[in-house]
Amino acid sequence: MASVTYEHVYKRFGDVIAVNDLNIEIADKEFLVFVGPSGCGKTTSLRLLAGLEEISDGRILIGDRVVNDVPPKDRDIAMVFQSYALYPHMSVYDNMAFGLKLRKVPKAEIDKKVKEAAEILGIGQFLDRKPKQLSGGQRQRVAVGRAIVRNPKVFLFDEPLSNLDAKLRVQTRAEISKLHQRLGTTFIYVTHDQVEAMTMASRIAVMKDGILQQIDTPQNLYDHPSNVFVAGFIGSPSMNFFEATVVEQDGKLYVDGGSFKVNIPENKKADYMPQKGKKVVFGIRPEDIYAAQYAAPGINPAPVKADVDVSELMGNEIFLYLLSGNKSFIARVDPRTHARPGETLDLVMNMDNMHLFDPQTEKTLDVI
Amino acid sequence: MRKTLKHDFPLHVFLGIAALLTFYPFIFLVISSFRSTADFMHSFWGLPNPLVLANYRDAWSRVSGYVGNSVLISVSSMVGVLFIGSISAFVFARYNFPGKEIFFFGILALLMIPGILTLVPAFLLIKSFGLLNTYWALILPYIAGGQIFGIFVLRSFIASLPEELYESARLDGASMWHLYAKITVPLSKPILVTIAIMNILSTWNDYIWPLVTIPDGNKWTVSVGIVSFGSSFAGSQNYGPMFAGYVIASLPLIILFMFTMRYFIAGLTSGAIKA
Repeated sequence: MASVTYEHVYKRFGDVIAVNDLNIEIADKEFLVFVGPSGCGKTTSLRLLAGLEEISDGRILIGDRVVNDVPPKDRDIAMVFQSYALYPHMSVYDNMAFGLKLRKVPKAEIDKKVKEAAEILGIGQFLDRKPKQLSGGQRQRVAVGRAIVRNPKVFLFDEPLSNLDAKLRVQTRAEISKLHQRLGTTFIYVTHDQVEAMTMASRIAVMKDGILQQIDTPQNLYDHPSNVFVAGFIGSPSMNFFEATVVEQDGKLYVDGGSFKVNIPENKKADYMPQKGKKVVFGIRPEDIYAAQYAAPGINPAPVKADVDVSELMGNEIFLYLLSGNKSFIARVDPRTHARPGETLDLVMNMDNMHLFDPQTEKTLDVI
Repeated sequence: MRKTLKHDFPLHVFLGIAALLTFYPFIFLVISSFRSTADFMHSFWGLPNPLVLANYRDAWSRVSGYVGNSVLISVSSMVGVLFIGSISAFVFARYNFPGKEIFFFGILALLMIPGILTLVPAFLLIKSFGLLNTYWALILPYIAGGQIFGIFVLRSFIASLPEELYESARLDGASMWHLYAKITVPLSKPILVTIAIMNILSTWNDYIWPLVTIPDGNKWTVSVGIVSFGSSFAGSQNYGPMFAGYVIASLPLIILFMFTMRYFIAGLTSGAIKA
């Protein structure tokens, strides 16, 4: 068990900066998830920690030890790859025992560890099989088992669920979370799927273009995104953004989006007063827009009218694709809502959960 | 189905005749190897009657030495080619070093040079080493020549193995030797068997090089020895032992192919479809 520290870490591939001044302190036993779109540098950050890529600049520490020049095998880490990377010519048992054999662990101990791990993961009956005789989910378990038997200080996961079908992904997600609790070891996990990140992480590091955008708990990322990118990336469907101006009228502050004008609640007025007269980006999540007749009690409602473009019934909710002027946005409304394409619908926005961003820097203007 | 069979019948007849013509020389060889001298005189095209097994006893007493020499030389060369070829291909495929591409293209260029052109310089080299009339005069040049094709084929195959397997093994604690011996070699088995068979075929059947480097009849390989053995029957009517000798000379390769056919075909088709 160990903490992990990235200190001003850079990784350059020629002229491309894949990781740009990364600074993160990951506590012992933490479950940190790197999340971001393809090419954001999340996998490279993980590979730098694993020793599979060389650091261009900066330091990485596992515990108190700088590991920049330590070979992968001596870093006391184990990694689960996206493709599982099981050795196709070896049985499940040999796949799991391979690392221990290379470390000259006594046979009896190898046998004990492999069988214990197989028991935990429910793959005891497959130990004699070759990887090609297993399903995707079973292979994924073997890959995790191979990591467990090594009893490493840090577990690394590189998009391990992306080859599984949706149902199995949900199930395995929960199993990995349970495994983290059971092993009590530092887990560092890479995914492009924000749902995976939100459901498993103690903290999430959101990356874009090699730069760490924000690192925080899932709830804080959702409630207090530091910029437009994080606000749009966390949450599904994404947050709606509108170009708007903050205006004062009759002693009240409003967000004027052109086709709509919504009242900023009194408790936020002081925070947003410095933006008066300025252009801003107004952000509101789809789940904070209600059909007027089904608005949740206790919210700070601001009425808006919009034309229904498309309606998608999901069973427990409806995704409405709406048009306000020429701006489209999404609302996640009560399934009882009657909304047909072409109709004009009365909506309310829960302004308690509104966000304002600077249109130039895209940074939040919310006061946290 | 019935219609298809009828439609394909002429094609099947044609293919049957073609197959017969292909196998005929070998069938003729096997049948003749059991003939008595009288059979050769009076029933040349008929089946042997009686079967003269003694032909094989006579032939074996004279050919077995050549077969033994060939087995020793071919197997030694094959082992050398596989070891040096695979380890070189592994390094070319999975590591970067200065001049890698130039080295590789240099090796590829050697593939284009007909072997006969290097006969004289190779002979002089072996002579200067004092290796003429030894098994090394065959084994060493066969390894040197055979590994070129081996490196070429194996490099592409090893380069196509997923990088994540190697990364995973490195994290598991594998050294460079482990990556070669525990990952690369087992996964390259079909292609290694293919190279082994092709190498044995070429060394087993080589005639010119052993002829010029091995004057001592006791060290002759099958290809040289069998010519001498065959010519000893000139003017004789008793061809049975001669044909039996030919069968004995070709049998090891047939047996080898029978046991390794599965790997050989897998090796030839590897990479043909996505795994």
